[in-house]
Amino acid sequence: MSEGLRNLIASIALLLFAVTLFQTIYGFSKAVYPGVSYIYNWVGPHIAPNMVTNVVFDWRGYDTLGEALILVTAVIVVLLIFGRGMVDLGGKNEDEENKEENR
Amino acid sequence: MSTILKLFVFPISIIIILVGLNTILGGHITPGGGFQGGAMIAGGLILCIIVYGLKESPFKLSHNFMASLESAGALGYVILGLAGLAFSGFYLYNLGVDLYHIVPPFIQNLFDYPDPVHAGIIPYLNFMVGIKVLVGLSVVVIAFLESDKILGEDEQ
Repeated sequence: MSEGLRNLIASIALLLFAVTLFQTIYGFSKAVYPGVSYIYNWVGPHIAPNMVTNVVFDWRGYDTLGEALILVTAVIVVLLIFGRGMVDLGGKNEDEENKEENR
Repeated sequence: MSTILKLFVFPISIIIILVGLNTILGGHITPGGGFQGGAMIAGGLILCIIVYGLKESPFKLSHNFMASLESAGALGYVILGLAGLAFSGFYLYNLGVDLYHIVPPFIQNLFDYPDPVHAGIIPYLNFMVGIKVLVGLSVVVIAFLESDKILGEDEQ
């Protein structure tokens, strides 16, 4: 593919992206209807005063479960790469105590 | 570390841990929540571990204890979700608040958090997430502190 053709395709792609972006910005206030926000603001005070906690733990409870599992997965990968089964978390394990008794 | 730090850090870390507990338990009323409170408790533990060293830390965190806390947090969250699925048909349905009025009253009283706000299962979920985050963040730091042992074995 020649240089000129590649530049032409890139220009068309950039133009399409720019048109889409600026069309969204033009008339933005008409495009957004805060219907869900009205429902949240009506229902929220019936559950708990903290709206962020309401969203995170009530409406997005399943997301929060996944978010916590992401942290667990990160810890497991860190322990696999840096620990490789050799890290003890400060205290004594039962296995190590058994080994010391065997020695 | 210096003697001043060794005198100073243990009370300060206890205060940090208590503020973290307060953040978790007031997560449905005040700003903050389970994640933030768990991170604060982990910060207190990490401060102690860094200053006193892993072996002489006043908080003895054994492998089994940390694994049990982590499993209890994850299982508690999932079981609260499954209770919602069993009693109402929606996973993680807020049984204590019962916005749709589809749950019998005795189950609603069972999952209600007894305070003036009546936030349902939200405080319990806060507590579970706090336990999980506390274990996760402190275990990563402990693994990094132990990494010189592994590097030493590699050199041999």
